Amino acid sequence: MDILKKNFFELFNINISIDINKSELDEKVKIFQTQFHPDKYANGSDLEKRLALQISSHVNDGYKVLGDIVLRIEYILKINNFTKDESKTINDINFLREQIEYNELVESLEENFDKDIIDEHLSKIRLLLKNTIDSIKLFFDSEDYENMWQNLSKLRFYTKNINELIKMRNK
Amino acid sequence: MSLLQISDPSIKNDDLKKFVVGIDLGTTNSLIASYDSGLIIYEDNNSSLIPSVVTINSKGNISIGADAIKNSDDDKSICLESIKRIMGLSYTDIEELSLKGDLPLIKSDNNLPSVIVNNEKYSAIDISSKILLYLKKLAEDNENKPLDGAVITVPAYFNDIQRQATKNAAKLAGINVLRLLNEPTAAALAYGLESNETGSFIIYDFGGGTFDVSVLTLEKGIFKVLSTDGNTHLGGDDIDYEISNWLLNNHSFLKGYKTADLKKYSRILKESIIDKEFTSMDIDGNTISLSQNNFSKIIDPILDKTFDIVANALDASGLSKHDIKNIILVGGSTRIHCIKYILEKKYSCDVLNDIDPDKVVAHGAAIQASVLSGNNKENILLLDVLPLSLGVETYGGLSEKVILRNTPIPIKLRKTFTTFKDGQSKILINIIQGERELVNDCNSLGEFILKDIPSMVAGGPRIDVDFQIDADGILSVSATETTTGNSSMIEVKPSYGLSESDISSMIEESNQSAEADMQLRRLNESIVEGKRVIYALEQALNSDGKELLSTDEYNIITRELIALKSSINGDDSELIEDKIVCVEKASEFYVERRMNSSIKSLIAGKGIDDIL
Repeated sequence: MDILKKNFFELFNINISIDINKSELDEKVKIFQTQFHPDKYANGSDLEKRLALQISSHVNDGYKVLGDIVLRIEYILKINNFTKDESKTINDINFLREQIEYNELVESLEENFDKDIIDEHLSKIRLLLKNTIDSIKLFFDSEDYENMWQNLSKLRFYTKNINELIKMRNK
Repeated sequence: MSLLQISDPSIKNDDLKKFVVGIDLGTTNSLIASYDSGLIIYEDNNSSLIPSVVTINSKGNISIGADAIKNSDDDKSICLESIKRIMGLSYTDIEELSLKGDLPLIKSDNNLPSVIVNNEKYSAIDISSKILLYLKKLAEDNENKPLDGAVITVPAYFNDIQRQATKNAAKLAGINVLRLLNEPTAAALAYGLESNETGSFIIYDFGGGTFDVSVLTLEKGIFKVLSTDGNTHLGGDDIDYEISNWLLNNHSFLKGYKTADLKKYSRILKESIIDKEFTSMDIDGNTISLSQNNFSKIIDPILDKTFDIVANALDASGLSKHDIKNIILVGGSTRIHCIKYILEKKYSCDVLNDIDPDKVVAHGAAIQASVLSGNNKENILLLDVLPLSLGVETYGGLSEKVILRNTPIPIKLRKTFTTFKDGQSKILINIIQGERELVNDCNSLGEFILKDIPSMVAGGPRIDVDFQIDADGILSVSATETTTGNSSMIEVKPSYGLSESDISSMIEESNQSAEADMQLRRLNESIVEGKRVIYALEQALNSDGKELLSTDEYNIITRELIALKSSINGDDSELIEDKIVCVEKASEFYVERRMNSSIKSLIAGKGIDDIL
């Protein structure tokens, strides 16, 4: 079916961009599911059931990918045919230092839990995250996919750290 | 040739009405309900709660429900209770979770737990299917017509194997499963439809054997689950167990009493202390008293577990406390008064229990059955999520997640595999469900072997494996080798228990007995199905047939339609089925064209108000 070949931005009729309007996406997904969820074809022929399952799954996949900043940027790179070996490391000495420091931080927090230190680092990393997204936007505007990819690794790292720290704090 | 007049006034919409029900297959009690002419919950022995109990006597005779409890006193009989707790578990799982209780289980072939009575072997699926068959007969006797289909509820936190087992039990009982529906979602449906409200809700479902929580939003008939969490082995049974322990530890005269008897006393105490400050009972001349304060101490650890799960589910939903409009109580165990007060205090919102917590799940399931069968035209849609992450085993016994929990379903994801050695012709993939990192801490759903991989250097072949989760939350897997374009063979080996082919042969066996019945039934089914196909296609042709089809195409479809129409006046079920296939084949491209055209209009950008 044509629909399954469309990229997710085309599918939902949303402009390709780093930021996305979450409530607009929610609304679009709802519209599609009201029409194509398999329950709407519970009485249909086998073909209709199969197509509904495929379309509905595709829509949910699109929702998952476009709804998540990291997956969304990965996807934008993919539809622009930019691929790179995942195992390739990035040559950024500052980023390397950040990684080492973060690991040390986690180790020390595991020994001595300190909510204030966690909060302090959380706001620090959130700022880094925001800056990274801002530079990804700039690189995207100038179609510099190589640098988008470089910053994507940082984005993944910060997102993971924020989740870890929040988990640690709530424990 | 002019277009033929194809609408046939002799086929009325009423002929297409199907007899469908919702079934709440519970740990302690089961219910069966229909919604097509108002809510009816079918009663047995003057009660709509039918005990999920099966008693098998020494001659192999089986009794179910209230009769099973009556007959359980006979020493030579085996009484099976709370069988849902072991649904979809291996014998090893049951030992690890200490779930054996009073069940006389043995380990049979392939690690499947079974009960042997009178040389006959019964698995959990067999026993559940006996209960389902009993419920089906009850509804059929009440309505005096055969059942066309059922929505069966399962705990939201049931994994793939537990869902599959439930579905197989239903198939074995000859029930056409329209859908497996998550219990909290079913409850939300019943509440949502009655109150016509919008907003975000937490469903707190504390039953006889399982605890589930779902966070969902409701808007314009769309019930969207945001997150779900739970424990499939936490329920009223566990409270009884704790009270039994308390009885034993504080009343020395009870030493030597049978576990089953202690459980019975515990239940009586529990049911009477629920809304009182103090209760007492007499056991063989000894008075036992229990205060609300003591009762709280006994059950607090269990309740705390449920409150932690609620907090986790809310966290995963992305909502905060203030977003929650109401908490809805479901399940018999929510009769314990303090649950309501604690939740009200914790979440500062109204906690609702106006619909009988024992009946609300069956009520919701019946509504969904009515909607799915097309009997009920209300615009209702349930959007659910995957309860537990799905992954594959990677090097070092780690689980790599392929689809994360709380992902909306249905969903399909692709993962590419390659070989590890030169010339390798097979890859073994172990599919895992669960949140933990180590494979050993999760559930293995089964092993899949990719065979006949073309001989290439290590890392050369690329095999795409598609993981498809359907709306029931059940997984199916398919694979293609992309470098040569060959589709690889997949062989499914369940982790334990029965394979698909075992199940099919069991179903065949159980059906053989009623051969004549079956034929009549098959004819009726094919006539109903034929009428339905005609009705649906005519509706479609009337709405857009002339727009989307050329005159030739239109005529070809109409010709097949006429052939089908004449076949349903006869009594040859095979001919009817054959004609249905012809119609479906002839209209295949039309169906695809219709879907594509409606997608195009969606993409063109209509608002949700235009659709609903």
